Amino acid sequence: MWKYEKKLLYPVRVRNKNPRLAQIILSQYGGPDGELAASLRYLSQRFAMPTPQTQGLLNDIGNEELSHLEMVGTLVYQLTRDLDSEMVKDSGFYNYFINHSTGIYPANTNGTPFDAKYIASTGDPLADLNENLAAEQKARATYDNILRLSDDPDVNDVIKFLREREIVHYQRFAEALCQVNDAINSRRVMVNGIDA
Amino acid sequence: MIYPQNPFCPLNRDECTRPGGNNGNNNNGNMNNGNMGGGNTGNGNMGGGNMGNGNMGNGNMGNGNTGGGNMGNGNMGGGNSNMNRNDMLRRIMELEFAATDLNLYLDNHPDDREALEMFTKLCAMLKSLEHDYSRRFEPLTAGESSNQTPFQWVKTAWPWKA
Repeated sequence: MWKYEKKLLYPVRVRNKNPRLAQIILSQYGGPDGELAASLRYLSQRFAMPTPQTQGLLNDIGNEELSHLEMVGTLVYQLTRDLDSEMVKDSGFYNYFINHSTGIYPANTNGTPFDAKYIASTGDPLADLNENLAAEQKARATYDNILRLSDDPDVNDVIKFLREREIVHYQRFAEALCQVNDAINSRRVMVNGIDA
Repeated sequence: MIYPQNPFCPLNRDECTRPGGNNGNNNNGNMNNGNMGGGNTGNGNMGGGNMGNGNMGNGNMGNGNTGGGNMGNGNMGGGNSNMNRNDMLRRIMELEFAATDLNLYLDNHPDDREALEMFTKLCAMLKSLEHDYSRRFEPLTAGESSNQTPFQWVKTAWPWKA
């Protein structure tokens, strides 16, 4: 089950408004390689994992991704406080603003709403773990792109933290993949009811 | 049916990250040189992941110093009473992050005794500090607001506010 603690995983304190940057960062909220996709992917995949250890890892990383989702939402929220209509029009943010004002909606920078097609949950642990390795690298690459486009130090501090976490998650999934491989090959686990 | 051995295991088993182990720069499947020092369970980083550029606790959790060393100013949960709200919340976030990261390591290495001891210490410090914080400032969980009227949970600001 889930409980909530009234704090962020890492502090987010943005001093400058920047609706253009907010729209860029939104891709990590509702985009294909964003935190919502990550949370949903891992929390869905965890059911079919073959060992309690791997179930635990998927559960705990999925859980952490929800904290990241909150941080990304917070970034977008803080970047869009007290805007005037000129800022909205000039920045391109009007594309988002027209339907969402300064509310938070899961979409990517282009406004494409979040889609479950961004994730896979095949029920096959090898397929799923390989998907997760790719997902973490895609997220890391997206954070790289955000850093290329942002010069706000408050924002960049948070983005660097999130980027590091993607790298660590990648390592954890890689370890898990080795362990699951071993377990299957030594016939300690069955996968999908098939005696491997 | 035999599952084919995965020909590309991105992580060499011997290099599996371990607290205190010194893997130098993370070359365990990290694809580029843009490594921020995160993902580095070597270099004495317990569980990997510097929090911020080493500013929060300097990412150094395992230099032979279980929980000592640089976590804030060596003020490890004793001496809570002198901290102001911001400092205490920051310390809580440091501890929470360290515990979260170590949790992931332990998921893959549940028999690592040293890591387990560190995790136990972190959780104990975190619990004590959060309890103090909730008593002195504002509740961090809905449960911690149970003794107070009005319901403090909704009387205090939510964490996405600047």
